[in-house]
Amino acid sequence: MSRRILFVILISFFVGNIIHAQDKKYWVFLKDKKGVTFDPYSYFDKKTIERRRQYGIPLVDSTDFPLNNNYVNTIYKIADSTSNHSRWFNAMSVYATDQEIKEISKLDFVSSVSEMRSFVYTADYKNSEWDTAVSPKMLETLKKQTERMGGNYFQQAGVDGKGIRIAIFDGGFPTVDTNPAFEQIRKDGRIIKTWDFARNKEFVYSYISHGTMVMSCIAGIINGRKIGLATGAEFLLARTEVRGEFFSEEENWLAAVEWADKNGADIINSSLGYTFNRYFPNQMDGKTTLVTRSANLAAKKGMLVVNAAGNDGDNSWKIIGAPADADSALSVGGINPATDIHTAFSSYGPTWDKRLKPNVCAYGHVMAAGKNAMESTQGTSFASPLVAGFAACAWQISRGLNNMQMFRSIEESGDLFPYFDYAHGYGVPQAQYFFEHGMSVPEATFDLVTEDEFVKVIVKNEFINKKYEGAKGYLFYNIQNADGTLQEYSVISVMQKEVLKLALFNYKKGQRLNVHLGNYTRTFEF
Amino acid sequence: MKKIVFVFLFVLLGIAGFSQTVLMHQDAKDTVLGKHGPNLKNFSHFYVGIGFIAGKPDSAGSDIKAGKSVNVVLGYRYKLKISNFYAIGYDIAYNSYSFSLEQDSKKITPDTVLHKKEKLNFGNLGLSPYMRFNYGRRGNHIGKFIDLGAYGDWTFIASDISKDKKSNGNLVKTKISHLNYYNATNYGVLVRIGFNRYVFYGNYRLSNIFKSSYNYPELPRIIIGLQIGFHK
Repeated sequence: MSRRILFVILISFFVGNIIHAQDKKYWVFLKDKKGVTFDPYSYFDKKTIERRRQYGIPLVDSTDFPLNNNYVNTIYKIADSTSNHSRWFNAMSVYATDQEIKEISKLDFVSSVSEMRSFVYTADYKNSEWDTAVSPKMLETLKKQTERMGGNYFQQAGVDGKGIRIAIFDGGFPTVDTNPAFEQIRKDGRIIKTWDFARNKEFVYSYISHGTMVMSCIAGIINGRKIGLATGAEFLLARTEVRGEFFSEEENWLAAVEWADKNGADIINSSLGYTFNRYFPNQMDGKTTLVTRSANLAAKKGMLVVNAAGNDGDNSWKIIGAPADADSALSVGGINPATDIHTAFSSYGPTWDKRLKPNVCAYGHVMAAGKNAMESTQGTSFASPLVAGFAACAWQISRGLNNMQMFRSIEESGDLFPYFDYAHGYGVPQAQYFFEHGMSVPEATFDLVTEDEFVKVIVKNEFINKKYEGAKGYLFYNIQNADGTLQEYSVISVMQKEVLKLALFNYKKGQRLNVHLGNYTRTFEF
Repeated sequence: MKKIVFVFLFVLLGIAGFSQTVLMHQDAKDTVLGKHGPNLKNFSHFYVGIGFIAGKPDSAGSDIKAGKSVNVVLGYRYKLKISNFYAIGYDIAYNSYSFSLEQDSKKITPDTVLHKKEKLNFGNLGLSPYMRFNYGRRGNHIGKFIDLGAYGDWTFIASDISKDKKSNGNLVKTKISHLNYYNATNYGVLVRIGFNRYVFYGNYRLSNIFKSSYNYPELPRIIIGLQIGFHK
């Protein structure tokens, strides 16, 4: 009997060992780049060099240097195969068995190894006739999704993101090479480069149609109507994802961000996020995940990284994912066009270390050009490209601003600014800001009154139950702690004069009540 | 939230015909890392499983039909994470064993009478503590693991169901319950190999199903099967 028990246990460990014996994928981080030379003029696109010069960023730093070839070759001889390299992190990804990775980790020039997970997804490239029909309801949504950001200001001024190069990281771009929504872009030859990081080849016009819809929200035009604002921009298309948003490849994201830098991207749109499949909420702290650190490095090199906040607002994860937690990533939340406030699925901030996220928001329910027709779709994946398109237009007319100044300007152009909360950030960016170099002084819409033990918000008569376009008819308020973080925040409709009454004794000294209604923000100190 | 927020609801007060509406409210305190989750301190979930009874009886006379002798389980599993690589836990489960007995000349369990078909069915409540060894990198997921543990079953239903075809063509099904030749408790060891919600399991029964006084050859002891956990 005991022999049988032993047999069962041995079988189980044998199966376990088979699993272990299979190749796994690892990041191998190297200690240095000794003896490596680098010529930026032959490596970088001229736009990259222009960007760095314009914003006073060193033309070359150590992160730009390639990996030491001797190190790479030594590792290559041990590992079964290698995949991508990261100059920025001085790392290479390898497939290796347990034994091989042990051997690699003992090499003098290896500082650490870290296991990855990978998933493979394949899809066929099948195109059918593209249906250009757009119903009146679709047209109405299309109009609103750009006009909500003041897109008409850009349009009237003929601003369309010309001269701005946008890199899009996504799961595939089926029909972008034939789709009528991108006809002008193709005619002008404004798809500068493409690369499939999952398969290491140039062709990206297949796989997941998510990327097609995202691109249309930046720059698509259907029947003469803009889907996104940056219809004159240039594009770098990178296929980084192999299976939609949940099982995705950070390694490809890292490689793509270096590729985007090399090829002169000004803006990166990444409608992707990495959450519970890999991480815990406490790792959304802006410094833990490689993609987050990579997004911050991209910003240091002068690119504006626009990232979707995530679609986990109504599930147990709830908060933003990586790299939307990066300090320097402009994280974009979603609002519902029907209510003009936060849509339930849009992930909330703050970051784990309590920094404000999302930074701004845009429509999370949009019309987008899909693989074969216009589609109604939703997700912060589409709010992000709407803002990326907005950013391209804003940057076209504000070329004197560097990427982080543009980041701050987009925040300041938010229709809630200086008010913020963890659902909307500073609100929806407004084009008007970039034409008027700031927003006009807002009209006072309410008073803050203390009476007995209460602070009251008294709305002026003309602003009660007032019908506005957008969220201007709502009163936003938050309770801010002395350290600047929010304790709570709300949105209420204004149907009467005294809209809010808070008992003073419930709040601590140093806390603040911030109230916003119709562009007007006031603060009460407890 | 204990803070008092007075929003004047005139409709409720009967003063006016309109009211404030709170469209959204969020407390910003809920970013504390929870303690319940697939890769957090505590986790529990339900699962179902089906397995096949395998192997030979201890001696001839209790042979079973392979593939027709099954184990079905419906259970609740709790896991307490000790470290990223090690956890302990327990299962509480209802499980049933159905031994489809070979009807041949060697048969002596539970008698030598040959039927068209015959099954010995046992319904049990079981408790099984286990140790879990996780491997591989994972986020808040169960991930890949190997469990080693033991189980104890209390049998509360037992029956011998036989089917015979009569000379007139009728099929007669006979169920004998209140069997007196089995032990009400059983125990054994278990091993599981899991990939998130999919778990391959193997049980080995150390105890004897039949009371020694009956001298029945013991039924096969091994079960191999698949469980599916109800979790992400």
